[in-house]
Amino acid sequence: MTGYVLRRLLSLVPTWLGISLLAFLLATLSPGDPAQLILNAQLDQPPTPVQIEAFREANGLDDPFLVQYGSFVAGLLRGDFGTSFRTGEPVLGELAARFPSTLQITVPAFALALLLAILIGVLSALRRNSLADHTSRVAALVSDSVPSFVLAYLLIIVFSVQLGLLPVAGKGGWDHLVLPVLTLALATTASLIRLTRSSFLEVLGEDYVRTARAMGLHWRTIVFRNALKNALIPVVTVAALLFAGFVTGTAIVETVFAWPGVGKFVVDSIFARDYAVIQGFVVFAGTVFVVVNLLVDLLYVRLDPRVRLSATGGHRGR
Amino acid sequence: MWRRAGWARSSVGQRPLRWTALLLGAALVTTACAGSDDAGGGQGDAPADIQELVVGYSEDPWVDSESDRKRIPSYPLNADVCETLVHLGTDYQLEPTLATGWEQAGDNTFRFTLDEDATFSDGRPLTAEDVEYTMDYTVQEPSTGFSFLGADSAEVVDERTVEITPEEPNLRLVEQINHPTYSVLSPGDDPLNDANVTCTGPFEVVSYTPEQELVVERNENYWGEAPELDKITFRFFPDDTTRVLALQNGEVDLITDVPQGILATIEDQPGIKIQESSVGNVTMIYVARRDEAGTPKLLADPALRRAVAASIDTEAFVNGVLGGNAEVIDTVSPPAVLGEFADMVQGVDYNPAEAERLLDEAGWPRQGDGIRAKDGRPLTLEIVYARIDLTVAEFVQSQLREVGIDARIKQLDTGAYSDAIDSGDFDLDISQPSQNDANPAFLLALRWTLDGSGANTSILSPGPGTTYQTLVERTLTATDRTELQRQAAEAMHELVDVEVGGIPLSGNYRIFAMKDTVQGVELHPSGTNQRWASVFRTE
Repeated sequence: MTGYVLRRLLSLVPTWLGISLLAFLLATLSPGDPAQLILNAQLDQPPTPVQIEAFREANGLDDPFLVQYGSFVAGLLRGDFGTSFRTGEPVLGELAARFPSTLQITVPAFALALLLAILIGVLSALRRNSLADHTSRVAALVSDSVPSFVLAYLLIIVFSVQLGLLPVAGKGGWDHLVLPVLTLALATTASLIRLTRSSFLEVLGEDYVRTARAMGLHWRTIVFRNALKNALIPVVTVAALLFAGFVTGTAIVETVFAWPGVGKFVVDSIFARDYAVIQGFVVFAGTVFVVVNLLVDLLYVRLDPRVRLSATGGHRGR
Repeated sequence: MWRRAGWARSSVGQRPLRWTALLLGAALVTTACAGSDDAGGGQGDAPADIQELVVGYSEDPWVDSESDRKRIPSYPLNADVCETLVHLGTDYQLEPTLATGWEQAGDNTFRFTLDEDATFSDGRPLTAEDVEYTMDYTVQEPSTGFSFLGADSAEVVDERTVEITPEEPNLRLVEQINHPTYSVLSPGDDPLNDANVTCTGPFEVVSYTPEQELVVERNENYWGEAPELDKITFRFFPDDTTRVLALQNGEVDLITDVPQGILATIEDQPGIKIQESSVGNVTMIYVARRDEAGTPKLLADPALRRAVAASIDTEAFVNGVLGGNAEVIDTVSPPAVLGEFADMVQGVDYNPAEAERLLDEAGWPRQGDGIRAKDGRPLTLEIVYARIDLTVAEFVQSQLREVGIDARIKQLDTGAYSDAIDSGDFDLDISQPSQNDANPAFLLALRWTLDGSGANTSILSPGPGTTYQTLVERTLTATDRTELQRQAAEAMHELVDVEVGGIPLSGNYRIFAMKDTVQGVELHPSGTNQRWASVFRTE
């Protein structure tokens, strides 16, 4: 098992280098001169050619490609993601300052989405073609079709403007969390419901389930002790990637709810061509995806005996 | 600085208008059906016991800009905490504030006499050293402004007198120095690192939480007329629709700068009233004559520029696209800044037949598809814009199409937009420049005059030695304000009526929406010069 984990960790190195190369190429291959762009923002007026040349020299922008990339990676390894030319602050600090806020809404939203998906998906599969099944499928379809900002406005209109139960937006107590969390959860739970339902139906049709029933095992035992665990294996994969997407793609929800997270900051940086932030975020988001994938793989080892055997080399002895 | 114009909203926050209108309409209908505690007002005129106001502002203006962060809490959001030597009145004229008087004390030197009653919020009297510190702080990096002030520009004459000498000839200093970026600070204060500055205004900072709120409270030691409000909380809402919903919900008492497009959804709502300023910014078209290298573009031809202007029905634009929430305008700056001389600028009348005639005479006949062409080259113009509504560009596009001009719209992110206007990679640029100081020649000098220090002005400028260039240069040396306004109007007439270098589409009001219980708002047409001391709430 330890060897498997080490192998997986080592495989992250080339993946992460690929991500860093992609991030680096973003700035070098994009149209426009980064020196001019940065000086434009700093000086608030067009820079002179002398100023541009001096900036390029001072910041190594005239160095060969590999030298520049090497400096970039070395900086990343030191935790130096560069400086945002808009804010004048280190990129890592900017992302780190906003990341806890993003986690505050994404973690509960993910948990809620997963809980709803499993409950509704399993119920839907167990009551296949019933009214409850049809209702949940239609609800999932609607949820999947409505853009998240429309869903956000609808929730605000109902729960804030009409019922007066919750604040419209902003960061504050627990009540400020409810609507953004609900929006994120509802906007993404539909695909998980469908996946849980189909996966569960597939498992229920497996031979071992039929055998267990034939042997007289209680239906509840079969469902919750045997079938559910196996049915959740594909759900875990998709859910994990959804979580990574949550963490890195909440710009719209953060904007609507005036929530000071990473998403909106990054989108604003993209519009302003703040390459240091964009590069830093690409590396950050790529790292999140890579780490989440690693965790999923490790979770698979726990959930799926076939993977466990493969990971521990158990199959060789058979 | 010009890049700030009209950039108050995040493009992330821009939603398709029909969604916004639909949702806000739904909220309006259901609110009306359900009734509201605030509905119908029902308030008396008696001031509330505790005077607190929650303002829904657009996104945090300081979080993304190091140079603007240096101006907390005065610019771009002006929380009425710090004051300038002179103030820009709602009529765009100068009003004494910390300085009781000023005079030209040399060829390029201005002497300001400070009000002897003025004090900081800690009770300390205002002195000339404070002004000197402020000017020194203002000119340090990150730089802002085009007033040509340097590190040694301010000089203390005595405790109540200070002289300011720009590093280059600049007789427009007094008209510029009313801009809130020149708000007087207490020596040692550095808003870039600590927003809790000590200033002379009617309010003082309690807290600033980036991307969430700025809280100010009444300055109990205020040297002028005491403010009505005890406390103001400016809450930041990057999304316009959410801001409106927060007002409908009663979570905020007032929202600033309501977009024209969603005004209709709240203007008839019980308990909410709308207030508009006079014109504070102009939606207009900048016309590119040449590219970055100086090569003439299609619109270097004056007949084509005039044809473009004559093809646009600005009345239809104002009454149709903007729903009448603006006014038809001939000037490129708010007319008030030109005083009695605004009428000197006539604008190009809407006359599609004349536009067609001009295009025919210029050798651009219509082809089979209705688009004009010359020597096989279709008459295609590129429209760029960044922070305005798409409907504005689409309106211009449709009007040009009527006279046979094929206009292609390019919506750009702010970085790409900046690149385009610096390089001249456009024909028509639609934007909304604001007038935030008292200099009537500000925009003329900045955008169309060579060495204007704005964007690449050679792209827009009529060029060296032209009447326009001469007229604008003359405004830089005028010493009498009335004469300055006349000269600026003359230069603007040359630009708009003769050169057709800029095409005004609409004069826009600043629009606030607020609860009926909010009173005393004196809405300033310049967003950065809003004052809050007269505002109060009734029961």
